[in-house]
Amino acid sequence: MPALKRKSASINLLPSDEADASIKNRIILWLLGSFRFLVVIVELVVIVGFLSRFFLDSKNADLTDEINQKKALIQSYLPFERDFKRAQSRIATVNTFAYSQPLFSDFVAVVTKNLPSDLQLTKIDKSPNDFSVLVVGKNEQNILSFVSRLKKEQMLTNINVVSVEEVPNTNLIQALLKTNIN
Amino acid sequence: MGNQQNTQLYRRYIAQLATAYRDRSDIRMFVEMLLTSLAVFLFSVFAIRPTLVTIGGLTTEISEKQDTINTMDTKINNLIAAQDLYTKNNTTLALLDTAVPADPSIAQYIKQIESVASAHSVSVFTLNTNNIPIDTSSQVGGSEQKVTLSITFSGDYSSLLATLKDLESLRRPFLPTTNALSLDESNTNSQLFLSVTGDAPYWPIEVPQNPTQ
Repeated sequence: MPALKRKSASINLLPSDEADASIKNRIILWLLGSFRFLVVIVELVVIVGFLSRFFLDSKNADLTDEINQKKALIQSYLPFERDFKRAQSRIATVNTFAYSQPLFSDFVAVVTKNLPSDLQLTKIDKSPNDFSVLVVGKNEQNILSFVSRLKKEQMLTNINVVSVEEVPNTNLIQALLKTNIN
Repeated sequence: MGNQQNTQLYRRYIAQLATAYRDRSDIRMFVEMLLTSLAVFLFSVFAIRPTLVTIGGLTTEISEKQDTINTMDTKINNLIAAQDLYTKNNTTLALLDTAVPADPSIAQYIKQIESVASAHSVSVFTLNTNNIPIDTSSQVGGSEQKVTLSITFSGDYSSLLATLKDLESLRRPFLPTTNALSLDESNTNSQLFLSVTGDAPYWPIEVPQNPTQ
């Protein structure tokens, strides 16, 4: 005879895995786990930012005050600065006007020093680019001698005989020389 | 009828999704990662970014102001050094008013040239100037201006050379554009001429601009 067996009822009070796996529970777990961690981190960053603003704002205000003070000081120097810059510009002008070009008197002195006695100096010219000398002599030898003497002068460079021609109605020869100064 | 069918259909789909989420661990992990990423993104955009932007802006502003203060300090130190230098050379700098006057001062300059000529017994043959403004207030201040002079002297060689040297060493400098020493033999008495053409500087005073304008 088959024995009549009663189905034994099991009682389990522990939370089941199915309950853990429900969507609601998992969302609660996520909110209390990862999300909470994220919120804490974000709050930390925001609080640090908020606190640092006190320090940074104070420093910024100090720097603004300092800039305003220094600006006032610099503005008080403005008339002096204008005078100083004007003096600097005028000194530069004096240098340009007085010392930028070789002196004509030095050139004249060098030319007359080397002029042979049998040559006559008719004209000495100074143009912005070069110097020119017009001499009159009896023969070409005198002119050549004059040129060779000038070539020995360290002050002069690029000595060129531009023209040699007879002076009309005379027996004289006229030569035009051009040169530059170091 | 159609709406009820659709509702039941969607409920079935949702039930299937919930079942799949419950049964499959990979879907669970994926959904949690998605939610976490979404939270990180939202926090980054709406909380951390504005904070960092504010702090970054303040830091940049402070850094720029610090640089400005350093530049201003350098300028103030330079101004103090310049003032010392200016005070030390005050007597020398006063000569600049003669060397580069604020107006053409042509009458004074011509007097100087004539006194140089008379000192060396040289006669002033011609003296020409360009258009010289009587009133310089209309001229732009703070820039170099010049008057052009053309003078011809006549005399003997040594006097003319001495005159030339004196002209070149006048306190108010003269920048020659052309010079010529020439012998004129057209007349019975040959004459020696020294022609000098050049510029003398002046520097009108700059009128300070009114900052309110």
